[in-house]
Formats: sequence, C-alpha cells, structure tokens
Amino acid sequence: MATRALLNLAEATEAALIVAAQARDQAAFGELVKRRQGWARALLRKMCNNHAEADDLAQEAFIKAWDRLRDLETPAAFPGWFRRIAVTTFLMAKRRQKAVFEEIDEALSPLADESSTPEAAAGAKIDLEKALARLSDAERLCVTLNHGEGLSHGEIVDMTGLPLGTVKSHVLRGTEKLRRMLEAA
Amino acid sequence: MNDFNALLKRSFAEADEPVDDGFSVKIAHAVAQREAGAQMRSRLYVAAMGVAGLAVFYAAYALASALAPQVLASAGLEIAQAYGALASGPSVAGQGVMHSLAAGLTPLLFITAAMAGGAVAYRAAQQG
Repeated sequence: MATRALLNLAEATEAALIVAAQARDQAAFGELVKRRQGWARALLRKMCNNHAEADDLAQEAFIKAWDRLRDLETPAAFPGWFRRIAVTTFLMAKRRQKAVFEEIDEALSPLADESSTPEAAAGAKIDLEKALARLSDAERLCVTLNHGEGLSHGEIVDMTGLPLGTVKSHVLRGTEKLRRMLEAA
Repeated sequence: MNDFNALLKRSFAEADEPVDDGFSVKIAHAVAQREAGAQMRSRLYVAAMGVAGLAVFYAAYALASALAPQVLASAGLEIAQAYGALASGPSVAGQGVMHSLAAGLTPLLFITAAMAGGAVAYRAAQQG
C-alpha cells in the first residue's frame, strides 16, 4: 500500500504498475489490466474464434497473472510472460474440449475449396477475423503466434509444447490458406 | 509469399482491439474477491495454529507437571550418588553412577523427544 500512495495510476509507467502490483496493490493491477486488456483479448479472440470464450479465457489468464505476478523477474518481461499464460490457458481450455492439436488432418481442411467461399471475395484487404475463422484451432494458434505476435517456430514450440514439425506445418498451411483467400478476393 | 507475409503481419498489427466494456472492472472484482478469500484463509490458518500451539503447550505443561517430581527426585538422587561415588572407591562407584544416570535421564529424554516431535509437527504444518 506504500507503493500505491506514491503512484499516480493514470500517469504511471507500466513497469511501475507491475512493481506495485507485485506488492499486491490491486488498484495498480487494475490499471495494468485496463491498459493490457485490449491486446490480451484481441490475442485470445484471434486464437479462439469465439469472443465470449476468448473473454472468459482472458479473465482466467489475468487472474492467473495476479496469482503468479511475484514470479515475474523483470517488468520488461511482462508481455512475453503474460502471452505465455494466455496461450497456456487457451491450450488447457482446448484440451478440456478434447481439441487435437498435433494431428494435421488434410481431409478436414481442403485448400482447394477456400477460394470459392463468399468470405474470400470480401475485399482486397484481409478481413483477419473472418479469415482466421476458416483455419483449424491449431493453425489459428500457430499463425497468430507467428505472424501476429512475431514468435519464431522455436518459441512457439517452447510455448505450446507442440513438436517443431507440427508447428511448421500449421504455420505453413494456415498461411497458405490465408493467401488463397486473399488471392481470390 | 514474402509480400503476403508482410501483408499478414500488417493485418495483424492493424486489427482492432476490443474496447474496455467493463472487462477490467470484472477482473478487479474477481481479484478483490480472491484476495478477500485469501485473507480469510490466512486468518483461519493463524487461528488454527494458535489453537494447536496452545494444545501443544498444555500437553507439555501437563507432562512436565506429572514428571517433574520424578525428574527432580532422580536428579537429586543422581547428585547424591555422584557425590557418594566421588567420595568412595573409583571402580564400583563409577558403575553405580552410570547406572543411575541412565535411569534418571530416561524421563528427560522422553520429554526432549516429545518436544522435538511437537516442533517437527509444527514445522510440517507450517510448510503444508
């Protein structure tokens, strides 16, 4: 609470908010959530393809972050640290739903048919959310982390626990599907 | 493909982020409830440890009350015997001292073991 007295929340840097939140300052954590909720929810919405589920997972991830905030070594590492929590929360939810991430099912995602969908002809700029909705859960996860969050294949392997070959395949196939959708537009 | 990757990255970067439609307030409520629950659990834990400490203290006190006269008597006897042994012949008296020391130390060891056991149980409860 001593930290809170010295902290003007609206003007505080993210690092200062994180340090205060690590000292169990709920107001500082609330401000941190305000600043980061857009990014966190957008990330999970891209991965989930379901806004309500994504928001539930974002809430779960923020509460886990509050519980584990003391484990965060430096405030600068917060985005990567929180992203890992969000991805783990997403994966746990999908595992509860018995989603399969490691199999690459050719039959369920025929690339040839993508260009003929009405969504594909929507416009020259990618409607990202609609396009991502056409990918499998695993493809969406890997494409979002690779292209959206700028993670390397190795970092995705480290974060998701999927084999490297599977990650590469999901990124490649997901990207190829999105490209075909754009070409058709 | 590289152009497309660049377009894809740009599309991700430019994608709209959801506005805060009460989401952060929901989190704040959830965190506050969680903290209140944690504080309650912490208070209950402290109270339970206090009760357990009192129980251990009472048990130790009762044990000491029961054994103290015997221990004091043994100690007095030891001192008397040791004094007597030192005053008389070395070989036979020395054996007597060892025997009576062993007998007198038994309750002391028993109490020490009980206290050590209590301390271990307390530490295990704290770690758990």
